[in-house]
Amino acid sequence: MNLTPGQQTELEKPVVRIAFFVEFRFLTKTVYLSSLGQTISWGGHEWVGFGAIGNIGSVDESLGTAASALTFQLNLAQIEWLALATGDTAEYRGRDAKLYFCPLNESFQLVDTPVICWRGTMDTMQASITGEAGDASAALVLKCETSAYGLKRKSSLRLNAMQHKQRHPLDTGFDYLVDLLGNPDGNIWVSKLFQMR
Amino acid sequence: MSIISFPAALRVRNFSWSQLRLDMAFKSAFGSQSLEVSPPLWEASFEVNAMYEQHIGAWQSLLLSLKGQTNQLALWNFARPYPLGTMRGEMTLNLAAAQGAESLSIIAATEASKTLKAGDFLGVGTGSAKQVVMVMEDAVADGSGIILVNTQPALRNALLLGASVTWDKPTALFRRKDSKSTWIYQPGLIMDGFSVALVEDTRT
Repeated sequence: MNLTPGQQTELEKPVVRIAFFVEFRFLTKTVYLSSLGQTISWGGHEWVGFGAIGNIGSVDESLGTAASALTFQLNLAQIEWLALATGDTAEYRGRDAKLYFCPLNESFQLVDTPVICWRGTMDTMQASITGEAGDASAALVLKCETSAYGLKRKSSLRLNAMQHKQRHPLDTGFDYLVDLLGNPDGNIWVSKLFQMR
Repeated sequence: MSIISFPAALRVRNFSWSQLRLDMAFKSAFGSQSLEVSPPLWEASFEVNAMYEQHIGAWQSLLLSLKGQTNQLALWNFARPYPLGTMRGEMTLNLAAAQGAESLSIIAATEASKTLKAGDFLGVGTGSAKQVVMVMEDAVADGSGIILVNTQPALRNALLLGASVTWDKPTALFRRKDSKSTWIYQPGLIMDGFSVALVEDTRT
C-alpha cells in the first residue's frame, strides 16, 4: 500500500481519521460502500456509508502457504443484502472484491485519493440472527479469499491420467502421477528402457 | 420510516445536548494516538417530570409514535431555539459549500448589519443531508446582509448556492438509543418521571 506524503503526514498526527471503501463486483451490479456515516464521492462513484459495513475482519498471517480470508460483516437489515445472501451464489461466488483505505483531514475530507489495500474474491455469504426477542442482532458475513485461493483448489484442477487419455489414449505419461506426488521420497527414477516399453 | 416532530407544547424537566465523537484511543507507555472512524454526531436527552396519569397521554403518544428505533425525532436545541444574535429573515447560502466545509456564507437581504453569536444553531440540508451546525464565533452581516460564519461540525454533505438555512428551531434528526418504553405508576395514579436518550441518525 503506497501512501502519499500527505496521507502519511495525516496518519502521524495525535488524532487521525480514516475511512475504508469496499467495492463488491456482483454479477448484476457493482456496489460501493464506505465505513463512514455518510456518503462520499470519489473515483466517479458514490460510496454509501450509513452503517452498511458493520465490521471488517482482521487479516492474519500464518506460517506456510495458507491463504487467509478477509471477512466483511454487512448490515443484514438492508433488504438487498438479504436477497444476495439467499439468492443465486453466482451473484457473488468467485467475483472480485477490493478494499481501499484513505486518511481524512480534520474536516473529514479525503486526503488525496484512496489507495487499494486489499483485493480478493468473494467466496461465501452467511446470514445469522442471534439473541433473544427484544435483544437480537443480525449480521451478514461475506467471506472473501485472496488470490492465493487458487492454491487451495490445486488438487481438483490437476490434470489426471484419465483426463489425459481422453485426448491421447496411448500416452502413459500421467499413469504414475499419483504415486510420484504421494511418495516423493520413495520415487524410483526408471530407466529409458522401461519408459520405452 | 417517518419523521416525528417534537410537540412544542410539551415541557421537559431538563435537557442535554452533546457532541458524540466516534473515536477510539490507543495508549501505551510510549505514546498515544486516537482514531476517529466517522464524523461526529449530536446526542440529546431529556427528562420528564412525574405527573398524574391523566396528563401522560401526549408523552406516551410521542414515544409510541417513534416505534422504538424505527422512526426519527426532529428535535431542536431547547436551550437555544433561536439565535442570540439579531439576524433573522429568510436566510440562504450566498456561496455553495463543499462537503467538509467549516464555514458558511449566508445571505438575508433584509438583515444588513445584523449578528449571529457563538453558540447559535443553524439548520442546513434536507432528508439524509439534514444537519444542524453551531456558530463558532460572533459575526456581523455586511450592508448586503451577507454574513460569513465559522461552524462546527464540518458539513457532512455539499450544499448548493441558494440552499435554505433555518434559524428558527433548527432540527436535527435523532433516533432513540434504546427501543423500550416504560411507565411506572405510583399510588394515587401518579406516573414516575422518565428519560429519553437520543443519538443523531439521518438514515431514512
